[in-house]
Amino acid sequence: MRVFLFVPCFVDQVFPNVAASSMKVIQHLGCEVVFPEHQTCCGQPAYNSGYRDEARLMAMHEVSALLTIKPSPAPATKYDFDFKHDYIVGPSGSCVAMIRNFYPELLADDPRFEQVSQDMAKRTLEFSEFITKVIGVDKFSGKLDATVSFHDSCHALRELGVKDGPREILKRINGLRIIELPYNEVCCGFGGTFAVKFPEISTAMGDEKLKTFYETGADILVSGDSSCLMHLEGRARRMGSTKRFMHIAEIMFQSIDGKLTE
Amino acid sequence: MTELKSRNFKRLYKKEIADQKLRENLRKATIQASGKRNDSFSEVDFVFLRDEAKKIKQESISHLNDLLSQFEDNAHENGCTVFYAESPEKANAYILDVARKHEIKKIVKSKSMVTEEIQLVPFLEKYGIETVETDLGEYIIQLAGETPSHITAPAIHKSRTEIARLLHEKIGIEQNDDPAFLTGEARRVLREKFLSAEMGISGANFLIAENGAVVVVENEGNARLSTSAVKVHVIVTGIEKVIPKFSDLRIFMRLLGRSATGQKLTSYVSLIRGPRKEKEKDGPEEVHIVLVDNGRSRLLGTDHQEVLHCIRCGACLNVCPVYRSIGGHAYGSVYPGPIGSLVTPLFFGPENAPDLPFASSLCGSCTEVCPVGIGIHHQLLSMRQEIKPGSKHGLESFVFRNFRKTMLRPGRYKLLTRLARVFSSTSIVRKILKGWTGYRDLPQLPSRSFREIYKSEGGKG
Repeated sequence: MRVFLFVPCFVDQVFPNVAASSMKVIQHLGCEVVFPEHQTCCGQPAYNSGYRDEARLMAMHEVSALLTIKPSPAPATKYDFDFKHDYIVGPSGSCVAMIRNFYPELLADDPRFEQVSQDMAKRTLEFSEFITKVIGVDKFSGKLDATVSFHDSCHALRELGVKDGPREILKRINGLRIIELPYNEVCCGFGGTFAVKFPEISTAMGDEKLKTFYETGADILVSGDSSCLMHLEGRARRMGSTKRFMHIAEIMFQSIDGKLTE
Repeated sequence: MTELKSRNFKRLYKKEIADQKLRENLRKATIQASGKRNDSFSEVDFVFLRDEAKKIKQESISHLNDLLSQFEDNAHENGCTVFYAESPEKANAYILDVARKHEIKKIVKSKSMVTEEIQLVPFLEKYGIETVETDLGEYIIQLAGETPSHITAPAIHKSRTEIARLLHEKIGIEQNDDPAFLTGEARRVLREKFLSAEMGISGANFLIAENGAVVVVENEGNARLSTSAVKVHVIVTGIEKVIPKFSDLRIFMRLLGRSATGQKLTSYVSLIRGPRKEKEKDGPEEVHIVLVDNGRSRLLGTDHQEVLHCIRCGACLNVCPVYRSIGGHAYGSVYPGPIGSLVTPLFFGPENAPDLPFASSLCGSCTEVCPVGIGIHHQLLSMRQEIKPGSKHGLESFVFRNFRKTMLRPGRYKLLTRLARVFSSTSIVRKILKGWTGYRDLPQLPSRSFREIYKSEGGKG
């Protein structure tokens, strides 16, 4: 079994530490990890903004790119990915949902991609899902002294059905105190381009979410989606808060690495 | 029809969101309503009921023509007159005719979203016919000269104190914000209206094809009075409300009250089978059923057909974090919230609501609570994809075309993103990103992307 690491474009560019932590945690748990170098963007920003044709082209690129480890002149005819044994794992519920839930529909009428997008969807997992469903959560343990709350991203929660998994993972970290957010199923207001199209609504929603986070008294808000965190942290900083925001892969890596880096 | 306000969503929501008091009222009321809804479903199997309801609705909407003629035949047999109105104008003209034929000057009306949709009350008033809203929430809105801001709770944006002040100013009652007092006073005033009215107008929640009955669900008894204590009763509703069988109600009755107000069953469920029969002591002499199309039949056979399943419970509004932030008036439409962001462009044309399908974070809470299983947020997504290809020339379309071009060439992606990181702190970039930077800080950008780190460390990350 190998893990083909799916690193969403904004994680690659803005949160490389999230991708690196995901990779190291999966390696720590005994899996081989490869990073297919031709991958770029899954196409979700275009898809959700209504640009279906642009999204389709990006999806086609991403399918070929993710299934091929070493770049070769496109289009790839033979994939390196073993559909029986390998997995595609990404540290973002939202982008994983794009591949798993929307690619099969988006590429359904293209004979080159119809079957492969369906096969790929079945082997694509969000990072915490891979830990809990494939590796087994009890294989993981760590140690970290901190108080955290967990933020469910809507796409992980509702598109992928990820709810208990990340919490089970956090419970495997000795010394970690977890305080549930009130109204934890309410959206934080990021919503992709929604955040810049309707910034007043987006930040009003963000402020409500931050208020519930501050009420818990936790030091760190943990999530499986860096996009929610980028929005919430950006808003928190603007309003003068010094609270911390971390991806679950980062906190897992630090809990095995032994220290909470600044 | 006049140009819809929903065209100006961006202007409207900015005004509403600035109103702190409104946001507070809304947040409190919607969180409470959602909480009650969730509690009320704890004792029944929501998923089972929803799937059953969805099946019935799918069946009904796929056979809409047949069911409507069956309903029409049976309603006719029951002594009702059925009028099929293609447009708001035709519906209004028909209702005016009925009123004129009976020389009616005063009408009592119970809650109906379709009458809002066709602007019936202002239309009748133009012809000197007084129409009083008898649902308490609607009455408050009518007195305030406003429009409803919610499908089932029209005055949800008003606090108790605001309502007390309004009733004091408009109908001269003592200023006291005790709900029981306010309701009692409104009831007293409305009773007089009922006694003097000659015609009643109501909506309908369901039309039953197999026996021609009209089902009206409510909590205040005002709908029952508006439909029975008058000489002429006019029912105004959408063609999509028809369901095949009486027994189908057993599913919908368990879902509707819970979804709307967290009640196991609403206080009143009226089944109207037609006008007063010989030897019967009460009931109207005439019952007219006006079935409004207004864009609905256009959806048949399209990917948006399931939007016609909606039973107007309002659960998707209560749970929607966007609705909670801006309120119903911001949508500029009779139908606000997530379902309204679909219904408005679908019924009135996308040009009348170009922004509404985008006014969602696509969080999916709406879909989760919908009692008839409409994939609301996925519907919004597909609406976006239908609207966008029409605008090939805008800046956004240019951006996405170039975004795509970059993403298809990993070499170009690498180069451009490296440049972007270098220039990210310049003021020009900040200006371009003002939708972000005007409200939030930008994250501290790392010096190297993950792929650069990965490569330099020989694939070890």
